[in-house]
Amino acid sequence: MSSAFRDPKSLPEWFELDYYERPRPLRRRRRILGWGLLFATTAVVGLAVWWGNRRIYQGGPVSEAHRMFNNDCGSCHTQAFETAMRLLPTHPAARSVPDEACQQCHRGAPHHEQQVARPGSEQCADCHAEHLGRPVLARVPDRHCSGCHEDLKRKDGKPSEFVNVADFRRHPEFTWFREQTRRPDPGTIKFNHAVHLDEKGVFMPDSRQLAALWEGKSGGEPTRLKRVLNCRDCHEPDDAGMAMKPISFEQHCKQCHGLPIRLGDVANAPGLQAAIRRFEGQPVSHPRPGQSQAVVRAELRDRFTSFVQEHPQVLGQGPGARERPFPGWDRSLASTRQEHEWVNDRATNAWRVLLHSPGGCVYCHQLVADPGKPDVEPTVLPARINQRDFPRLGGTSSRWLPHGQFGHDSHRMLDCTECHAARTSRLTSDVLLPGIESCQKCHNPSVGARSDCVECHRYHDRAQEREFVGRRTVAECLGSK
Amino acid sequence: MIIDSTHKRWIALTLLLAFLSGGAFAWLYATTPGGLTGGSFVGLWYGIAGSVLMIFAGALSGLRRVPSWWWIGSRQAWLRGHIWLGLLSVLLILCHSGFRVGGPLTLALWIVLGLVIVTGILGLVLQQVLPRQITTSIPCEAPYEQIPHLCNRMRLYGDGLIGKVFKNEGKDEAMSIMLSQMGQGAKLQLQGFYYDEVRPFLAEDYDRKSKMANAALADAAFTRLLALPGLATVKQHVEELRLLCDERRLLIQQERLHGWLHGWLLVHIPLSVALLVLTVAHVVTALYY
Repeated sequence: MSSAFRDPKSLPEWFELDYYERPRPLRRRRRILGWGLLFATTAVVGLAVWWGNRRIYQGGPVSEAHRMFNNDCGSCHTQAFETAMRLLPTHPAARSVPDEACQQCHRGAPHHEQQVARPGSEQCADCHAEHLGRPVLARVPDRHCSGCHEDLKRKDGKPSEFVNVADFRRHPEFTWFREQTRRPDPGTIKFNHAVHLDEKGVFMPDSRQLAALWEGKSGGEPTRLKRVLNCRDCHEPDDAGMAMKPISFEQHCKQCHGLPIRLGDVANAPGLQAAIRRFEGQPVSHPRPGQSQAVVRAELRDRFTSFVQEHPQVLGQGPGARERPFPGWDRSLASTRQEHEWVNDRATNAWRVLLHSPGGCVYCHQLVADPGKPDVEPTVLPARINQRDFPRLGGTSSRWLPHGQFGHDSHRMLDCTECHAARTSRLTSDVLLPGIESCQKCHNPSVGARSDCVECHRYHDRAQEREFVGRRTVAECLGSK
Repeated sequence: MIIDSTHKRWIALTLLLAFLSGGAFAWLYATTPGGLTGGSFVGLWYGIAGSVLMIFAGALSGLRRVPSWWWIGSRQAWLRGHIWLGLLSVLLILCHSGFRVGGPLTLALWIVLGLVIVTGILGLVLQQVLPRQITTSIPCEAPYEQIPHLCNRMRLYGDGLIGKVFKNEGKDEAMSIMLSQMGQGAKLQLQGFYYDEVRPFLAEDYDRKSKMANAALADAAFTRLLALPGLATVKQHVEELRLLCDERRLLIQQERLHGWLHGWLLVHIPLSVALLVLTVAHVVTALYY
C-alpha cells in the first residue's frame, strides 16, 4: 500500500473493513454463467431425449446398409446395460448387440468346421464393429483374420492344411506354384496357346477342305482363311464378371476343329449326290462332358444305318426295296444282313479315320491303352479342363483358386497376357495362373489397390448357409415400428 | 498458482502415469484385432479413469464449502492435483475414445473439454506472469473490490484540495490588486480543470478517452497549469491532484490486470459445468446401449 494518501493510521478511512462480505462482480457473473450453462445443457439433453433423437448419442455414424433404421437403436441394441457388464472382467464379451439381433437379417454361415474360436472373435459384433464410420461393415480389418491365420489351429489338434498368413505382403504363393504343392495343369487336352494366339492368325478351313486334306487330296488350292484370335474368342466371362465360363467343344472348338465324316466309295452312286452332300455336310457330334467315345461310335452307326436304309441304292437295290415309313414317323427298321455288314464296314472305317487321323480325336485327346488287353480299343482320357483336384483340401473344384474370389471384370482394363503368359505357352501342363507376385504389384498399400483379406476371401462359407426365413416388416426395417 | 519446485513430485507422477497409461493403451491397441473402442473393456476403464479425474478436478470448487474437513488435504494440494491430474485426464479420455471424434454428443464433449483445458492452461500461464507484474508495476495495489470505494475517497480528497485552494484567498490581501486578479484567474482555471478533467477521471466509471488516462498528456496538462502565474501559493495542492491522477491510473492498470488474471474463469468454470452434464449424459447412454 505505497500510496501518498494512505497510511496505516488512516486505514479505516480509506478501506471498508467489511468489504469481503460484499458480493464480488466477477464471482457473481461466474455463478450466473455456471448455473445458466447447467440449465441450458440439461435442457438441450432433455429436449433431445424428448424428441426421440437417438443419433446424437451415437459413437459414430452407422454403415450405409444400416442407415435406414439409424434412429432406432433398439433394432440392434436389444440388451440394455449390457455394455455396463463389460466393466467386469468376468464379462469381457458382453454385447448389447447379440448375434440374434444380427441374424434377424443376416445368415452368417460358419467359417470352417475345424475353426478354433479365438476369445474376442466369437460373435458377429466382434469383427463387424459398427459406429466406426465404415461404409461397408463386411470389410473388416485384416487383424480379425490374421488373429487366427497367423497361427492356425484345428479343433482336432491336427496340423492345419492351410499355410499361415499375416497379411497380403507376406501372403504365401498360390498352391499351384508353391514348392510343396506344385503340380501341372491336370487337363489332358493337347492345347498350344502360342499357336492359337499367333499374331499372324490361325488357319481356318471349312469342313470340306479339311476332309480333302485328310485324304491327301489337294482339290485345288484351298482358300486360306486366316483369323487372328484373341483370348476372348474362347474365354468368356460369366454373368457375374468373376470367373470364365467353362470351355466347351461345341462353342469354342467346333468351328475350327470339326469332326467330319465321309461315306467313301458311294460317292459316285447315281442319284445320291444330294444325299451324300447332306450326310457329309453334318459333322459328327462331340461327346458332352461325362460321355465317352462310345457315343461317337453309336452316332456313326446310327447315321450310316439311316443312310443305307433310306438309300438302298448303295447296296445295288432299287429305291423301293425297303418299306419306307411315313414322314415324321419314327419307326426303326431292323437291318438286313447286307445292311449290317455295309454299316459295320463304313462305321468302323469312319471311326478309325476319326480317331487316328491327323486332325481327328488324337489331335487333341490322349488315348490310354490297357497293356494286358491289346485287342481292346484304347480309351480317350477325360479332358479335365474344368476340373482341378485339391488333395490337401480333399475335393475337386472347377476353379483354380477355390478359396479366393477374383473378379475379371474389375481387371478389364488389363490385357489378358499381363497376368496369363498364354502367348508363350505351348504345353497343356503349363499353369497359366499368375503367381501372387503379379497381384502384389498393384495390391499393396503404397500403390493403392486394396490388399485387405476380405478383398479376395470370404469368411462365411456360403455352402453352409441354412435356409433363411425373413420375419421383419417394412416398418421395422425403417425403424418406424 | 505458481509452478515452482513444490510441483516436481506432481509433474513426475503425472508423467509416469501418462507414460504407463499411454504405453499400455498403445500395446493393447496394436494387439487387439480391429483396435480398441470406447465401449471395449479397456476403453471403458480408461473412460472411467478419465471421468474420475475430471470429477476430482471439478471438486476443487466445493472445497471452500467444507473448510473444516482438514483430512481431505490442503487446498494447495488439491489445486496441484487439479492442474496435473486434470491434464492427465485428457490423455485418458483420448485413449478411451480410441483417438476418434465420434458422434454429435462426443464431438460436443471434445469441444467443451478442449475449451476447458485451453482456458485452464491459459489461466495457469497468466498466473505465472501477472501477479508479479501487478506487484512490481502497481506500488499502490489495493484490494480489487475496494477500488470503487477508493475512487470515491480520492474524489472527496480532491474536492477538499480545491476547497483549500480557494480558502487561501485571504492571504493574498497583501498583494497588489493585479497580482490578486491574476491569482484569482489561475485558481478559477484550476477549478475548471479539476471539475472538467480530474474529478470525472477519479470516478469509478471514467471516460477512457480522458486526457488524464494518458500519463504524458496528464503530465503536460499539469505542467501547463503550474506554469500559470498566481498558482505558486497552491502549488502543493496542484501536485497532490497530480498524484491523485497518477494513483487512479495505477488502479486502472490494476483493474485491467485483475480482469486478465481472473476473467478466464468466466469461461473455464461454466464450461466445466457443461462438461460434467454432457459427461453424465454420455455415460448413461453409452452404458445403456
